[in-house]
Amino acid sequence: MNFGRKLWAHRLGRIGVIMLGVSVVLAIFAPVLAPYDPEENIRPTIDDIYAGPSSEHPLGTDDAGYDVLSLLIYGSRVSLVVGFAGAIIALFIGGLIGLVAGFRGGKLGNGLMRFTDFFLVIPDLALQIVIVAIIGQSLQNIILVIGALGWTTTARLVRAQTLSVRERKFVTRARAVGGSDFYILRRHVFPQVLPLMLANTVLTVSLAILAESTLAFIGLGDPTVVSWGQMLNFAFNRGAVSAGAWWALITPGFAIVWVVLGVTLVGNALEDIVNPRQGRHHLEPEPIPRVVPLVGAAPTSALAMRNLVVEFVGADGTRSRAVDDVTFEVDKGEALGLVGESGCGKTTTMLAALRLLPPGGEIADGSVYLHGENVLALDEDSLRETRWTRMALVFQGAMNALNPVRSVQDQIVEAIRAHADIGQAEARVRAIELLELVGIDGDRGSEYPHQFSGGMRQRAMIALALACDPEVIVADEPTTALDVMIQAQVMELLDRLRRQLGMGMVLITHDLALVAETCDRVVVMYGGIVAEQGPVTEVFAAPKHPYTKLLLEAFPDLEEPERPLISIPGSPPRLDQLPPGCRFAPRCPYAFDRCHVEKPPAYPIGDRWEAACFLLDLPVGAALG
Amino acid sequence: MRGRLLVRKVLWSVVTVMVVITFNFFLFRVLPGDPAKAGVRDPRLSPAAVEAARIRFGLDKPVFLNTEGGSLFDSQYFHYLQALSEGDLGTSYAFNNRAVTSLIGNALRNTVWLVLPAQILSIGAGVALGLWAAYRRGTKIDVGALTFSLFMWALPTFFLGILLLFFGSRYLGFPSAGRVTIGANYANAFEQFWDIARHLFLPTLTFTLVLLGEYMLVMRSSVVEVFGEDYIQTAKAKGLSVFEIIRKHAFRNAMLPIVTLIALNLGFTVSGAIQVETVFSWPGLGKLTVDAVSQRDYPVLQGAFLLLAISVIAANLVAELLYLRLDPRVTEV
Amino acid sequence: MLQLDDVSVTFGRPRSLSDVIARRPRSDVRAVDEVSLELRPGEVLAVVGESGCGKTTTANVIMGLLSPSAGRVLIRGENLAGLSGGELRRSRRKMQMVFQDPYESLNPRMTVGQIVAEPLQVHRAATGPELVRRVAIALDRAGLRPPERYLGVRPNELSGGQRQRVVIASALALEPDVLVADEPVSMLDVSIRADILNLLASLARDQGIAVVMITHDMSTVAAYSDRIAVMYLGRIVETGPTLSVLTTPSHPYTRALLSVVPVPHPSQRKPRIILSGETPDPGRIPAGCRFNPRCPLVFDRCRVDDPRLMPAGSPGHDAACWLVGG
Repeated sequence: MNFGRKLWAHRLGRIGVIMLGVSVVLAIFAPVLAPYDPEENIRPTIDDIYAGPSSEHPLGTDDAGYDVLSLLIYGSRVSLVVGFAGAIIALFIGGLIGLVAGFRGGKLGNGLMRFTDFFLVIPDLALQIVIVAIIGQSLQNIILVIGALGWTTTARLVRAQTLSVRERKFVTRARAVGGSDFYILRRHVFPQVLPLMLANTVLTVSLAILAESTLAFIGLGDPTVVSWGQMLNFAFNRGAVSAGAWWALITPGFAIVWVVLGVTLVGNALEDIVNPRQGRHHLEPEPIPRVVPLVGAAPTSALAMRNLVVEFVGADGTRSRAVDDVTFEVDKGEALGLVGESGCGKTTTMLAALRLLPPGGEIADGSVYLHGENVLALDEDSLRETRWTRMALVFQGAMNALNPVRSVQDQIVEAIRAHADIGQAEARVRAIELLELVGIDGDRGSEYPHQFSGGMRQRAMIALALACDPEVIVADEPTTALDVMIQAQVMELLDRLRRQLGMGMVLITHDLALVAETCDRVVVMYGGIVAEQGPVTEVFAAPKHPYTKLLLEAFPDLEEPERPLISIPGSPPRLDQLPPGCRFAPRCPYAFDRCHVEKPPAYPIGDRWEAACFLLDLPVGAALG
Repeated sequence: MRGRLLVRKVLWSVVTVMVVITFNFFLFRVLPGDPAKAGVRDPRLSPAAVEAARIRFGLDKPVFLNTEGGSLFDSQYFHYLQALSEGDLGTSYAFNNRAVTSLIGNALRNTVWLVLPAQILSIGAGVALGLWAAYRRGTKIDVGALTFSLFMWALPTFFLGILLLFFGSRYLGFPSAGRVTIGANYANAFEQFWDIARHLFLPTLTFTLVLLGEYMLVMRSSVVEVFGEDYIQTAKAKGLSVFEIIRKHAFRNAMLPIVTLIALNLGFTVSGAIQVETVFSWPGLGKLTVDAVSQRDYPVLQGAFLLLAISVIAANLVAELLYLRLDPRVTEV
Repeated sequence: MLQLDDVSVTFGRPRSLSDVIARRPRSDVRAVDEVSLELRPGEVLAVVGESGCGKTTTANVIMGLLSPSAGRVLIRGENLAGLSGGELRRSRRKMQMVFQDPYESLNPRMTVGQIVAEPLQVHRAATGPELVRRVAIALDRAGLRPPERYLGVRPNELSGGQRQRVVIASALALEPDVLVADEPVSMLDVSIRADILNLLASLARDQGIAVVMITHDMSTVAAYSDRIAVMYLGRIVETGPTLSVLTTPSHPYTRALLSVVPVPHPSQRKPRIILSGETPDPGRIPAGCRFNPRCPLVFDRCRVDDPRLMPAGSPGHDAACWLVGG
């Protein structure tokens, strides 16, 4: 792990390294760099005490006539030594306890954590004061006390990290292979925990430096050494304030700040490197999409995507095209299957329809029409009104799609009241009706999401989506995490409700079989484009795009168990390295020259059936099947 | 089931308090030197007088358990426990025969006057500013907030106090020490209140600034994390405005780590109080502790430490119970 | 090769102090209830069922990672329980596992070579050039050719399918007799699953390994397994040659399960038997036949008597249902 290089590349980390470096240099070369020797006995005259900055003493003198600058330089030694020594002791104790507690768990782990919690609850400065008062004010004692009391945060952190690493699947695998506890700890767990431990230790250094200076200021420092806290103690208690001797009072404090800041910047940078945090979120201000003027009559269907283009802008500015020139329509009462493998852009396409793209996503071109209105042209307020009332999404019912600290019915009520002027009580009645409609006992509405099973949570998401009677409902992989029987229940529910309420439905899935069972039409996506779209019966019986054909051949069929399955060699294209020409050409067994150079447009095949493949541009008979 | 959890937490706090009391007791018995002599402080006393003092302070009895005859519990430790239960914390060595309890009582009141307003201000301002910084993530406001927090973290509390004291008393006319102006005569209660308030201003400001940085930082990162959660996307899809989303979804979820932080910060609050009171000579529990150390006034030190520890444990318990109330997911300790 | 005889695995739920004081009865979870399985060399046995049916626990017992609370595990006729520590370790070498998640099962800091060598090192089966040779053979058998090219590569440089092959290679390193594949392709894209499944089937067919495939995907089972065992709430409710079970399912649960599996042919919309409710909690198994609360064909006896596996027509095809026998 080339930490050094990464640390230097980190902007703030670099600053921290420089700041810390300066202090270290000063500490090591103090005898050379300091103009005076603080050990030297001097007999000060009245003029020497609290003398202001001059050419002899660039930072003035203190209450005993010593040169402040030299004291500052020598003081860095104590701070750094105490800081690092204390932190190392804390690292050992805390790291050991954390590792054992996290790895073993059980009674031993719990006991260790109780022990740690006990120390966490005792106010540390008070305890440090008491102990140092008892055992004496030597530098070693101070280091010991700081280290012996500073391990608690490290222990908690290490334990948490160890626990989470222990649950990771490569650890389970190592156990299955037959590794002993000690082997697993050594080979798999410890290397994962170590970087975080080190990052945290650096932060502990800053705490240790602060602790030492505080103790010294209070008067519990080692009187035989020069320390910044000690300097502040003397200055403060010996009249620097009334004498106005700011040089004696402020400079040691800033010296402390300098070192601690340097260490903290390094520690934060290390933490950033080890545990990079995304930082982007859903409430960032969004770019306003381009409005493409309408050509011809407005679409009459419930949902119409026209030439939609979605791009993602990376942190370094690189653009990748996740959705490229996608066009399809969904009518009321119609079920459309949006099918494709991972990374094909199906979810991004539907999120774009309501302008709900994740941070970094931009609608670069095209239009989306809901009930004849261009969604991309709407202002903020109209957009909010359109959401959920014209089209609603059924997200995958994972734990976090619903707010875990609010009740299920509250979240449905919220959706209802956001779009209708209804009172709380009436909205609650309606919410409970919706829950019953999807097969959930109304009494359970006041429960929290984590109290629902996976299947129930999915139904609750459906109930939520129906809250405002949308014209189109989009279900995003609604059954992926569910057992096949629950899957059947949920799909049957969706189908029944759709017919009953006359809604259009878009089913986003990778499961072709599911589409065959429940949808009227299918849109097959690959690498951000629409490869083929048409009536399910036609497309499945005689697919015209090679990808569709091969995908069908790769799909196992329970009713034809003897049929050998194929794999499509290669992988889907990376969105920032798209091939010129047809996206599927690199993997297509039917590809010819033109395919690698030009992008095929959508060729019509039958009634609302088209495929983007040059095979369809060849004389009849040369195309597929 | 959560009721059981509540009971477990309370029980655990009680156990911790008992351990702290015992620990406290034995800590001071580890002192070098003869406590009796330390208590009496007059080196000219005859051995007989020292012996009399020893008996008076109860130091002739066995320390932990009495195995020498008579009741098993006739020992220093159990006498100490009994005295505690009656609210007797001993007598001060330094302040001739003043009860430790009354000394501590006064000091505690002064410390609460200092700490409570500062905590409330810093939590309120920290939460608000953290929310703002998170919403404006990446902009100058955010960067400014982060820089401020970083500085507050690196600045030792006592040093901030010194800086404010230096500039405040030299250039802005704030008093430089104490709780009241010495020898002041007040015409009415308001004048007295105003005098105390002037003395309280700088210490409270110091405390508030230090805590503010930390609360703001934690709130900011908590909010940023919450803003990235799936249920925020769901709320957005439902058609809620940003303001509504923050108010009804983000805020409550983001506050959970703050509650935990408040609990964890209590120890820091004590250390901050010690430092601020020392710098501003504010007659609170912190200053009392430091003075007791320099005067080797062990009964006061013992009593002060005990009280500090118990307050932190109690406040910690309240914070944990509050967290339990806010987060319905918690089912295990 | 490997046999499970009436194996049961019971997990005790830890009791709190108040449970003990209130003298509440132990609520143990019978994750696996009297399961008998036979693994034959060169054969792929599919163990299917929904979540909570006990298939993963059964896999752990086969692997020797879990000891049964009742029943015996026999390797080539020898009872595992009677083996000494060293003999046990040696036996355990012959059972290896392929995991579900190719993205998480490989330590990101180790190279492919180190990962595949690990089982050999842990069991001290080979060192030095012999180690390298065996690693290369394993990589080759798993379809990663030429093996030398992959030795120094890290997992995050490989595709999902390649990663899964690394997992398989590491399982093959010790030349096992039994390979347990737990949902080996569920996290891979459909268009690349066939290759991995073909590989597993060929390992059985050509290398004589007994492969156990744990899955919930009935469609995959159809194409790749020789025999199948359907589990529900810890019990095997139906077992037999795959084709026989799929074409003439005898247990109502199997029938319902098969009827709801979607098929990529829009024209054939067969009648679906959708069961109501969800699988009950394994800690509260219903009395009598455990499927009775949800069974569309339930009658009185089902609520009282717990049926065993009984012959259901074709040879080797058994079902635990009163409608079939008794």
